[in-house]
Amino acid sequence: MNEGSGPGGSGDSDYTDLRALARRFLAFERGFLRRQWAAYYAIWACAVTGYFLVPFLLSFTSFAALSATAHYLIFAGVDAVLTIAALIVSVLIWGHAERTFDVRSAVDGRPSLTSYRNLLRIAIILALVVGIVTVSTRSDLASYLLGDALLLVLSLFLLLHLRRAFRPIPVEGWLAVTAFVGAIACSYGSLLLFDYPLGHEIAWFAAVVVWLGCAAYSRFGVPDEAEGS
Amino acid sequence: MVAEATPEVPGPLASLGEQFSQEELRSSARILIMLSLGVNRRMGFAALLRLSHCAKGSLSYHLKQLEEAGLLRVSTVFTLGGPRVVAEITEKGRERYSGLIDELQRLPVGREAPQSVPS
Repeated sequence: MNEGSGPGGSGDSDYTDLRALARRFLAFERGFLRRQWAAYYAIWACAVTGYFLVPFLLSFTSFAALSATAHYLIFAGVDAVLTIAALIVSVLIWGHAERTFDVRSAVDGRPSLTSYRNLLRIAIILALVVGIVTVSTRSDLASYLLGDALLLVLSLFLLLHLRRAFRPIPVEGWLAVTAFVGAIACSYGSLLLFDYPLGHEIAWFAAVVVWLGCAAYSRFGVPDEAEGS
Repeated sequence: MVAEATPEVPGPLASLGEQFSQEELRSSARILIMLSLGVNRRMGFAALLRLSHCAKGSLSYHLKQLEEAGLLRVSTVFTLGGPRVVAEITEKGRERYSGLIDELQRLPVGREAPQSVPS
């Protein structure tokens, strides 16, 4: 930085500033980004709640009178809306994470992989939407297992983007990933080892509670110091 | 008569010098604002104040400079918490941001000021 040209002034900059400014921006962005990720945790908690709540609501007598086709359409429609809403929020936040990663890569003098990631992202998102909606309209063991496998892909995506957005990953990020992977592991265990389908619901309910806690903490509990001021 | 030798400037630095020779980026506060809007696309005045550590008047001046250069748009939006001033990056601003990132990437690692982060 040139002497006498503080950040608030309008003095000249030179090349020696740029990396230091980018580092300062990244420190600020960390706190900002943590608050934004609250939406990610919250929307997936709501979506997973919806996946379990919809079949429960459809089992009521007023809905039971509907034909199988109507059941299927309501079920698939609600799940599609939930999944697409969650993915829209996710894509916005993933995009933000990628752009932050670009700045960090540039600061470190490393190349970023812009050309591949958009294609990969579209392919994975399409697979997730089709997979989750298809699987959630069935209620047999295979569909539960396949649904959990798709959510495992999502949790890996979550971990990847947390790594891109943050260095190091904040505590609520680790909690969210652990709850997600833990729910999948418990779900598989209860379905395959103990033949106990209720374990699947309990595991996901616990994950939803943790995710809502992560959302609340990252929105309201992140200290101001995290903004790097 | 001997011609005076001009020191050769390495490519990335020459290119960065060109970026900084443009008035709108000749300020660390304006570079911070451009980096921030490049990543966030849109930011509120309050957040930009926290980022840049500028006084309100100073930040308004920087935003005006960048807006006049066509790099961002400043508007007032109405939210549940009342009216808010937000700055949004334009297409031209995104191009300039990409240029900054490219330059940053091409800068030799380790070429920075000793007091790297201004307080």
